[in-house]
Amino acid sequence: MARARMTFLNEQEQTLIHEQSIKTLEKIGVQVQSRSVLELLEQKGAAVDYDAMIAKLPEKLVNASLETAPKEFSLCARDPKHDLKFPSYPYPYATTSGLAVKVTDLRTGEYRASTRKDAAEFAKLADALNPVDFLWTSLTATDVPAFAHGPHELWATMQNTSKHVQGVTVQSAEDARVQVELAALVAGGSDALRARPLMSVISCPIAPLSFERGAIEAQVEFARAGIPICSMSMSMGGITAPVTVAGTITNANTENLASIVITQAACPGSPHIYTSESAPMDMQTGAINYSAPEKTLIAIGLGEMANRYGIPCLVSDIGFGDETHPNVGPFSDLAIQIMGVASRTDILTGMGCVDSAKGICFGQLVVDAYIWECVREFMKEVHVTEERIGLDAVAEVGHAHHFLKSKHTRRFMRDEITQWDPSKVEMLSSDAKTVIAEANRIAEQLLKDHQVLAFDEDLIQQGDEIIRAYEGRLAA
Amino acid sequence: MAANDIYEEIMQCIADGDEDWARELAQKGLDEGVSPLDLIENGFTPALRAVGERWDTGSIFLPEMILSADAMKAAVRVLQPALQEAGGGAHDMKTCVVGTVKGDIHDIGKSIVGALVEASGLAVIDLGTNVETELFVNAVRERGSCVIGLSALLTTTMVEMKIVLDELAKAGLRNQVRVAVGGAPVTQAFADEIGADGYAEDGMSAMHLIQELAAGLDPAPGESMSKVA
Repeated sequence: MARARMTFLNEQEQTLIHEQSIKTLEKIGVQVQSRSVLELLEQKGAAVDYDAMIAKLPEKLVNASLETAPKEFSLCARDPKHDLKFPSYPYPYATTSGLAVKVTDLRTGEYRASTRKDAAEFAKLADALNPVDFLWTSLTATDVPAFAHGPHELWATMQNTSKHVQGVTVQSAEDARVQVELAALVAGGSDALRARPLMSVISCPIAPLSFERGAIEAQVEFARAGIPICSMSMSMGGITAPVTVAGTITNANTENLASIVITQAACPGSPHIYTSESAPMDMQTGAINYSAPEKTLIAIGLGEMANRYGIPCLVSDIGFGDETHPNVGPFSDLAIQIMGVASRTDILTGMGCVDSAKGICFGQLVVDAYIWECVREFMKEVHVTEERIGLDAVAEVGHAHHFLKSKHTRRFMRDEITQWDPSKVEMLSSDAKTVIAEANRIAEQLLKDHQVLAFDEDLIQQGDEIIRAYEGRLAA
Repeated sequence: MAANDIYEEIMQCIADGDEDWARELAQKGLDEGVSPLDLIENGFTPALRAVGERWDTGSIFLPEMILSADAMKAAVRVLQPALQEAGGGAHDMKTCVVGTVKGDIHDIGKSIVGALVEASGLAVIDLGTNVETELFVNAVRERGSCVIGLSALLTTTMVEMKIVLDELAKAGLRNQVRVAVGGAPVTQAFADEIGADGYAEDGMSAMHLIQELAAGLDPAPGESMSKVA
């Protein structure tokens, strides 16, 4: 079976990156700002300097962790038809962007601070759109107590989708326990949640080579509950990683290996997704440069490293918003992203984001979903067999004739050749004003018509009570 | 060596962002009897300005700009004792205090702004990250009139910016300072809401904003080059 994928690093280059990562872990180590996690690593064979909070991880420990990290597992959904099996096949799963702090108001167009209601409504729209395979908690609920916003966002999102939910905000081990409690409530208990993880989480190291206390202690809690972890390295070449493509890949690879070691130390066999959102910095402003071609090269290289380890990965994006209203984005971004989606990633993130991922726009999610629906066909499986090559048909048609009436054409045309939905293509090809109006109209219509698989009222109240109790403990 | 020769070398060493060379040249200038103020006014400051102009036009990159600013800082440290001895009060320099607010450990954005502001000719005091509110207040008490640049990268820590402003007001210091705010979740609307004097989206605009805010400050009595951190 043929599938189009970008290739970048050869075997020798991958080996060098792996060896340099091992050297980093053994000689330089990673900073883990948590005594309990350092103790855990020490028990597993790491050399720990508690004053500097540095753990040096021996190659043997890294290899053992790669061994126990599962190569195949599923991110499960309330509705099993939305379960996501890894490795993904034939194309990656696409999800929404996350943790945006602003939203383009669907009705007024105002670009403003996001609320819990926006998070809920955006989740409903993502639930309605078929090309969105699962959801990140996309918007920050700025109208709830700041230290409880993660559980609020998870709860609002879970209530508005029957697809898998990946949480992107957690601030402490206790926060993690509350999120697990909420997910377990929906799954039907902690064992049921472990068997069918309805949620997973993004857990970011701080590049270079550091793990912040709240996030890493939360990661350990999640791993112990069987919640899949995405160790999202956000290495920025030139600022938080070496400026070179190879240096940035190696830094992100090292952080992922360290994170896998921590997950496996907490709970051997707990699922882990190798993850990166790495890019060079903009050399003039110091901001992250999402438009750099090197970002795509970094993604392709990291996808190859993850594949080498056999660990499912999330290393690339799909999302075309660059303003605060729906748009198809500049051609350069489109070209770069399309190459990126053909990396060996199992997951693509970024749908619906605008303003360098600081904002979310409902209409943009419609645009991104439509583009993804078209683009992913480029990555479908193609059968290369004698039957499909069709020499019999060639002989039958003969020289200088046509295949229009050939049985071979009729047999395979629907299966082989993508026919894009003309109404979607027309919308995406329209002028900017039409794209905005039409994408927003479709979003509004979907929100009006779509029915989410509803929670029982009791369940909602129990979840609300879990969050209220947590807020009470924090306030005390 | 004639003063002009050393100024040419300073121009080159700041362009190269070479800290060691900058220290050497500062010492060499003093040894040859050039006044510390002349070295700054005719040597290091124009050299850094030239680097800033090249950055504005996109011909050099941010890391080069920061290295140049660091080289300037290294030179000023060498010149500091001589400046104090010479009664550096004649060379007034506006001050900018930068820091990431309490509860927030993000360092890079604030440090870039600090380096750029310093390169633009202000004295910079970097209080670091996770800065207790009282440290900002104390800095204003010690330095007098200044610009404060507050950074926050989390929605959970943005609120600390308002607390800093409130505490400055309670201490009766609000009219002595101009407060600029920035960081990924911060917006102009938020800056307006908490009563900050300005908001900037990136390092470059933060530098220009702080320059503008500093220009509007009354010179603090006794503010001098000797107060460079």
